[in-house]
Parts: sequence; structure tokens; C-alpha cells
Amino acid sequence: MTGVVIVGIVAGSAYALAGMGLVVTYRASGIFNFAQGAMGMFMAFVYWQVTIDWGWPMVAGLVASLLIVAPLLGIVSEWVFRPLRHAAVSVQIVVSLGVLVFLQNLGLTLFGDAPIGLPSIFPDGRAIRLASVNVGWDQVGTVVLALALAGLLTWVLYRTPLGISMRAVVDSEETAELAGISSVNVSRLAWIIGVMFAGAGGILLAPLVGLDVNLLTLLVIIAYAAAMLGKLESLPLTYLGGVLLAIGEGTIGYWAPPGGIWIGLRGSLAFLLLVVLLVVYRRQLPRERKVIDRTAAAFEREPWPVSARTAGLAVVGAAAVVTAWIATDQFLYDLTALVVVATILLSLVVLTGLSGQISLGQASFVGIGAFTASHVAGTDGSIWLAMLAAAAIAAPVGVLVGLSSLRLSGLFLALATMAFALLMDNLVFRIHEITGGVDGREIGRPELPGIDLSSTRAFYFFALAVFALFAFLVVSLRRSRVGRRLQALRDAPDALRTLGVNLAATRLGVFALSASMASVAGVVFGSYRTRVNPLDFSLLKSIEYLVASVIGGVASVAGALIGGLVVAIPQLAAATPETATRFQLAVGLVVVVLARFPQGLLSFGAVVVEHAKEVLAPSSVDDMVGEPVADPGGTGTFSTTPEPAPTTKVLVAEREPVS
Amino acid sequence: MGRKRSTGWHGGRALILLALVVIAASCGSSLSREEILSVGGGSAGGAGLGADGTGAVGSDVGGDFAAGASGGAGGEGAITDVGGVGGDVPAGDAAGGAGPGAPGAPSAPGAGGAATGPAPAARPNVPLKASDKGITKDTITLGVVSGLTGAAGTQFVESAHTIDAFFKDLNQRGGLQGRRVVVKIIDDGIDAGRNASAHRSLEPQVFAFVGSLSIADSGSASVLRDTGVPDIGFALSTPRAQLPNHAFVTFQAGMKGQTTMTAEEAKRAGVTRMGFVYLNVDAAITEANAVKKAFESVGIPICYEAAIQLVEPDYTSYVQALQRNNCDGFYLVAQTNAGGKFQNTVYRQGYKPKMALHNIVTYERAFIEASGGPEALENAYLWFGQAPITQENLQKIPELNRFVTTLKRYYPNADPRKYAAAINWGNAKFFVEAFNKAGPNPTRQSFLAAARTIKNYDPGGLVAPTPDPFAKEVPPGTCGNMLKFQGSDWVQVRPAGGGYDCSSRVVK
Repeated sequence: MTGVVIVGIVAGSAYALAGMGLVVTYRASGIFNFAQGAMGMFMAFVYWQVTIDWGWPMVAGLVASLLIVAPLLGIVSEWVFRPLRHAAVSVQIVVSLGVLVFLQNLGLTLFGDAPIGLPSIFPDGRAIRLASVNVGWDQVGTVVLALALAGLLTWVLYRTPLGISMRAVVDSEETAELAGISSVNVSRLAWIIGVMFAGAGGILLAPLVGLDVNLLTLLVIIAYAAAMLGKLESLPLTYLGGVLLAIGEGTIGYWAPPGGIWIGLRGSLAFLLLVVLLVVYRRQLPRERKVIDRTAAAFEREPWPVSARTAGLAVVGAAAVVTAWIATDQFLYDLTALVVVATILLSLVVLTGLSGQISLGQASFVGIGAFTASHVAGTDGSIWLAMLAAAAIAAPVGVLVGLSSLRLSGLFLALATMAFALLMDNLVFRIHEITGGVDGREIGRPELPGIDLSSTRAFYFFALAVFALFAFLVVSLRRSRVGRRLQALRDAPDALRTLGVNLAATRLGVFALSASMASVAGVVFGSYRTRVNPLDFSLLKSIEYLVASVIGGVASVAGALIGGLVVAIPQLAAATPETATRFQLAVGLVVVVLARFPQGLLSFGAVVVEHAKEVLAPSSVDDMVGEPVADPGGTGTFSTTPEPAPTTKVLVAEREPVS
Repeated sequence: MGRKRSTGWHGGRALILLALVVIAASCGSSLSREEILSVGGGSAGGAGLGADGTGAVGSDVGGDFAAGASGGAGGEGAITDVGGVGGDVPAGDAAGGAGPGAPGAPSAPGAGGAATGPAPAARPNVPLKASDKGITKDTITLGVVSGLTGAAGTQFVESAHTIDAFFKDLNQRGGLQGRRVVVKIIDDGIDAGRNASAHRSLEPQVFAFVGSLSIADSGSASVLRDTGVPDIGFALSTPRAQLPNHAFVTFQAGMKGQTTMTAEEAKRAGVTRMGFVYLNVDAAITEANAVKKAFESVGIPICYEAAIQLVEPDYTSYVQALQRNNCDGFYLVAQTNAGGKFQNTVYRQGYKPKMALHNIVTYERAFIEASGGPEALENAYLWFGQAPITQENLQKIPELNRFVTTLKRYYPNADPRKYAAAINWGNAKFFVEAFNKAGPNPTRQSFLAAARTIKNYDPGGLVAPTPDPFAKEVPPGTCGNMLKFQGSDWVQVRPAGGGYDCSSRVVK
């Protein structure tokens, strides 16, 4: 057992490095940086370029990556994330995911031919023998450096004026400003330190896991559990969390019998631990929820007038029908993908747009629906029964996931749903009997008496019909009493409680509804594909859905369509690797722009129209009172006044029903 | 206008962003994206087959190709290479020799059958015409749908580069039966939906798919099945592998069973208890399970088994478990870097197995580097299935030389050791051979009919011969070879001296 502990300290130091980077950035900037791994890997690429490809000394590589590129990236990051400090958490998450995608593809473009191996900055080989374990110098170095950094950064954050200023800015920007602290400068410095830490982690960890953005990002995700043990505040506890996690994994690896549940359990340990910690710490987590809950209302406001939305949807609807008769079979097939994904995204409109809950596990529900259909209907086309079964199975699972929303919100709810998605990936979707593994399972096209839905055009109309039905459901729900209750749940839960509304039941209900919608959409998805496998429903897909949803505008039906387009573009464009990479770069940039337009591209369009009106028909200042102003005070929200709004005050325009 | 925006694109910030991008760009390697899978077959063909003559490919072994008088080995209807890297033209049944493809008999080293007798380097006398989808009197269009970005990173890029390079080279030498070959490559991003869509969009345009490689290739099955388009490549899913219009060279997923070659070699090395450690993904688990049966069939029990995750910061606990269970050998199925790190841990912990067995994925140089160097690779074996790239083999096996030099010519940064690159060269070569057998104006059906007559296919010794490229039941690797790390690189130990061993039995 001593050996397992020794190994745990060694391996856990790697998790700790990744986890501490997250904590540092979070404490210093208030943003949970999903792009931490990508930033670290980008820095590792720079280090590789200088030391390996150019053959310069190691010191030059460290200087170039940590003292030149990292500060620049930190400054850019601060600029990107500044408007998001008080934005809805889904926007924060999505923008950091956008940065991840951008850096990932920038790295691929610039360093695509770099080998996966990167030498350690420490000498290789055996060093010392502890218990029954030989420990190498690189491992000793990683442990010592991780401990040193934990100590140093704890001291900086909690004992120095700089650290206190950083925390003050995160806690209350206004109070900090009143105390003479420049929030911009402090925040910029915080980001620089955070990115430098990410870079140090990347250079230390890349030799262990490989010079690959996906792998390091995955390592960072595993390290979320370690960071959570430290409640996203304590670096020593984060270090301890990394070590405990590694000891747990090592124990399973060392003692567990082969095969069966143990394989999945070892891979899922970090995510199980994350869920447990979220539940245990639910009352002690950083107090970001209040701010985020209030700003979630930013989703509600529709930037376009009713007439414009009605006209827009009429045009889109007409175009959708006309397209069916003029488009090629192939285009129609690809267009169907857009419609199917948009249908899936409507489930997020209900969950995130309407009730303010976050889900990073929506693809798992889509998978539940698709695999249910493959078992219930198979290839015989009776997917109607499958739809019922899919909804019936997904609803209780949705309630189960929704239980986390009773105690968690914002970022922590997002992390809980992400853990759910990873557990589904690792434990459920790995069961060959359920999913068919990499071969997947077949699903037939639906059958209607007298109507053949097997052709591309017929299925396109079928998918459109389901989308229209879902859209009608969403709009009706929003206009209904239940819909208003959901909006109140998002904006003013305490007020809702005083009215005698059962908040828990409402939350669980909306999770069940959203899960069922996603699951039924999954049946359509499976029927469209005719064969599905677990890769179609991984965490990456859930992330893709959330990103696309927020890009389009998570509060509206039209936003779901735009989101569907974002997901379907690579398929529509039949991408080569080059175009695929460029597209991903573009998505990353769009998401970064989104930081200025948190209501999605629709709001971007509205702002453009506003400016156009302004140019064409200049009006007095008085006339402008009450008109929307994009991003007053850098809050990432919209205001109804021309003056900068207080950063903690969210002013929401008159609500209009979704179109 | 009284409208204040507290955020926006200020000049200073723009300069900072620009500076970052410029610095980053200047840091970038000189990766030329022109190498990223250009569509089309490169320059138009020359004046005739073999027009560029002997030695057109630098150090290529022009003499080996040019000679060829002996006929050499090779399967039925072997491709004839004329003059240097001359064009591939049909030799019909002219190729002599039983070839190494006959299962059950170890092949002679280097008897790849590349050097075959001369054949007329001329365009067929029959008028060329558009005989089916994807074929005109001037061009043959082929499709490749591979996972070149996404979850698998750039792991499969070389395999697509290989197809592109093969046909660019062929075009430069006059094309295929006087037609220029156009290669259309689409990246599916490891997404089954995009894979299916890409196949649907390409199917009306192409004569065949050649060399597609993707973890998400189950998406293609229905399109391939419904259209019957020929599909020559390395299937990773059973639905694609089982299609009647699908053929493969050497390796193939979705088949039951493995040969006992590795187990026999382990026994020879003195292994008495074998451990299995594999990546926790479907393909690796399937492979490990099949190999386990092979070991048990020769009387070597399984002492330990574990699935590793995609990301593991340390492998010590697994190595300790192997030691605790007294395993004196282990088989590892993992990616290049993970495999190397595991091997490094084995060395670091002082664990000295009699056989540390790895699979073909770890042939890349990165594996050796990740392991920490030659001293960490004692008793490391590689279960292979293609000719190792050594100076000796480059001289001895013309097809290997041609593969390496052609790939490097069109893609200087490409690594010919990468997964499936050589196999895809074999797939492309198989397509050419079948096309030539089908006559100057083939249809898809006549092409498939001709291709099905090719048995014991041997792409010039580059990869292990394939008894039946259309087989659905025969396990992969009936023929193969094994390497052992010696000195600074892998050296073939079975069959000693080169060639492939087809004598092992199959365990299902």
C-alpha cells in the first residue's frame, strides 16, 4: 500500500498542477476557465518550437513561452473575458470553450506537424527508491514544483497586497474601485499569472500525456475533482485532492479484478468524486450564484421586434419548404441534419433559455433516445412507440440529473451535468449490449400508413414537422402560466417561493421535460442517421450543442435554428481538414465576439440594425432613452438606458414572447 | 451620439492581439498547408506511361523496377512496373511465381513481387469512355473519407497523404490506363454523420473509395451498401468491414480470431504468464480479447488484465500489478506516446519481462523517444505486418522504397512509419491492380468482379500478403511478422531475415 501512496503522490501532482491552474485563474479572475488545458498546451507547443524545432536552449524556450507569449495571451484573455464577469454562466462557459476551440485549432494550424512526444525539463531516468517504487527525477521535479507552486501562489493570493487586490476585484469590483484598486489592471495581472501557470502546467504535463490539446484538456477535466476538493479556493487542498484521486485510481488499478465494472469505475472515479464533492460542498462553494442568477435574465430579452421575428420566421419557413423542391438530394440530406440538431437545441431553449438551468449533458439524453429507438423499433420503422419509450426513460433520468439543480446552480450545476455526461460515456454507453460499441446500432426510418418516409425529401419534411411541433411547444410553454413560472424560477426564485410555488418540483419538472424533448429528438436523430454509436453522444457533443445554442441565442426558436446551422456547417461544406480547421477557428472567434453579445448572433444582428438606424436617422439623446444599448458598462448584458448601468444591476427590457 | 460603449475594439488592444498572433505565427513550424490533401491528382500525366523514366524519384530504386525480367513473385495479376518508377499497367497473369501469399508457407525475404516482367507502357488500344460513375475518358475519380481532425487528432493524416501521393505519382507517370486519377478527400472529423454525408456526396462523383480510414466509418455502411460502390480500405467498424463491396489489404476490423504467431514467439522467449493492458476503447478491447485466446491456446495463462484510460499521468500502478502477479510478459495496446511512457515505467521500476509486446501503432519514432531510449526497450517486441523501414529493406524491397520516397516527395513532413500509411499504399496498389484486370472501360460491377479474382494479394512485400481481400470470416494477420527492438531500432525476428510468416494457426 505504501507503494500505491508513493505512486499517488507522483501521479497526483500532475492532477494537482492542472487543478491548481484552474483555481488560480478562478480566484484571480472569477472565470472558470475551460480553456486552461488548451492554453497550457499552446504554451507547450511554443516551448517545443523554440527548444526542439529550433534547437535553442531550454531557458530560451521557457522565456519565450512563459515570459513572452503567456503574458500576451493573458492580456488578450483579460480583454476577452472582462465583459463576462457578470454575464450568465452559460455565456462564460461557452466563451471559454470558444477560446479552447480557437487555441486548439490555432495550435493545429501552427504546430500541426509537431510530434506528440515532448522531453521533460527534468533529467530522465531513475532517481530514488521509496518503499517498493523507483521514482524518477522528472517525477521528483513535478512533485517538488507542484508543491512549490502551491505554496508560492497561496502566499501570493492570500498574503500579498496583489493577491488581496485580485480577490477583492473578483468579490466586488465596485468596492475594490472605491478602495483605489484599478480593477482592469489587477484583472489583467491575474490573467497573466493564470496563463503563465497554465503554461507551466502544460510544459510539465505534456511530456506525461503527450503534446496534444485533447489529451491535456482531458487531464484538466479529470483535475476538476481535485480543484473541487479545494472548493476552487484552496491550493493546498487542491493538491491533496489530486493526490487522493491518484491514490484511488492506483488502488483500483493495482487490486481490482480484470474487466467488468472496474474498468469503467477507474475511468469514472474522478467524475464520481466531482459529483460527491459538489453535493457535500453545496453550501460552501464560492458565492457566485447570486450574480449569475440575476444576469441569467439577459437571455430573456428578445433583441428583435415581434414583427421582424414573425417576418423572419415566415421567410425561413417558406424557404425551408421551397428548398425541398429545388435543392439536390445531398443538400437536402445535409439540411436535415441542421433541422434535427435545431430540434435538439430546442430542449436547451426550455432548460437554459427559459428556466436558466445549465446542462453540459444534453447529448447524453439524445443518446438515450437514439439507443432506445434502436432497441424498441430497430429497423422496422415503428419509431412512434420508440418516441414514447424514449421520453419515458429520459424523464426519470432527467429528474435524477435535476436533483443536482436543487442545491447547485450556475457553474456548479454545469459541472454536475458534465460529470453526468462523462459517467454516461464511461459507464453506460460503453456497454456493448446497449450501444453496439464502435459499430453502433441501426434504426429505421419512420413509417406512416400510406406515406413513405424513406426518401430524403420525405424525411426532411418529417424532421421539419417535429421541429415545428417542438417549436410550437416551446412558444406555447413560454406564453403559458408554467412558462412564466419557469422564468420566475430563473429570475426571482425567492419571490416564487413566497407565492407558494414548489421550487424543487418546478426545477425537476423542467429537467424532466428538457430531457424528454432531447430524447425524442434523439429518436429523430437516430432515424436520420440510421446508425448511431456512442461517439455521437459524447461530452464533446454536449459541449458542441451548448456552444451552438448560445451562439445562436439560447432563448429563442430562431436561435436554435442558427445553432443548428453552426453544427451542420462542416457537413454542409464537406470539409477538408484545412477547411475544418479554419471553420473551427472561425467558431472560436465568433464565440469570443459573443462575449460582447451574450444573447447570441441574433442580438448581434439587432445591434447592427440599431447602429444602421442611428446612422440613417440621427436622433436626439432624449429619443434614445429606453432603447437598448449593447453591453453597458461591460456587463455583458443589455440595458434600456443610454447610460452605463451598474455592473451588478441587470436591467431587462420589456419581455416579449418568443417567436 | 451620446451612446457610450465601455467595451470595444480599441487600437491598443488590437495591437496586442496582433502582436500575439504575429509572435505565435512566427513561432510556427513551416508546416505547409499545401500538403493538406489537395484535391486532384496533381499534375496531368506525361506523354505516356513511364515517360519520366528510370530514377525519377531521386534515390528510388529504378534499377529494381527496370529489371524485372525474372517475373518475380506476386499474386495473380500482379502490377507491372515499367522502367524506374514507371506506370502501373496490367500484367494480366504474366507474373510468375507462387508468391508469398499462399498461407501456410513462410515467404522468402523480399519476395514481394514488385519486380515483375516488362509490359507495354502504352495506352490501351480500346477507346476510353465514361463507363460508370466517376470515370470519364480522361479521368478516374476516387474518394477518401477519413477522420483527419477531431478526437483522433492527426493520427490518420498520413494514411490519406499516402493515397494522395500514390496517385499523384501515378499521374506523373501517365496515369492509370491513360486516365488521370483525381482524388477527392473529405475529413469527417470523427463524426459518423459527417462520414455518412461525405460518402453520400462523393458517391455519385467517384468510381470507388480507396483508403478511407475513420473511427466513425460505421456511418458509411448504409451508403456503401445501398450503392454498391467499391470500397478498398481499412475498415474500423464491422458494418463496413462486412460489406460485399468492401476489400482490404492485410488488416481488417470486425473479424473473429487471431493467429497464434505472437503466442508462439512468447513461448519461444520463455514467457509462462502473460498480462494484458489495453486502452479502454472498443477496438483495443476486441484486439486484446482475441490475442488472449491465442495465448491461452498455446498454454500461456493470463496473469493480469487492465484497461487504461486515454489520459494516464502515470503507469506505475499497472506495472506493479504485473510484477505482483508474476507476469513474465505483457501485451500492451495503446497509442504511441502512452505505449512509450508505459515502457519507460517498466524500465524505471526494474521490471524485466521476457516479452513486452506492442502492436503496429507503436512503430512510430515517437514511441522510442517516449520510452526513454533503447535501454528501456529490452525485450520489446512489435507485432507488425509490414516491412520495417530499414536501409537494408529500402534496398531490398522496391515497393517499400517507392512508398517512402513518394510519400516524402509529396509530403516532406510526413512520417511513413505512421499508422496505416503503408497499408494504404497497399490498398491503392490493390485498386490499380484490380482496375487493370477489369479492362480499360470498367464498370463498378466489372471492377469488383475482377478484384474478387485476386487472391493472395501481395503489394510487393510492403505489407503482409492478404489471402482474400474480400474475406469476411478469415481473421486478420494470417500472415505477419514480428520485430524486436535491438540496438537503436526494430529488427525483424520472425521470420528472421525478412518476409512474412503465414504458418501460424488461427484461434477464434
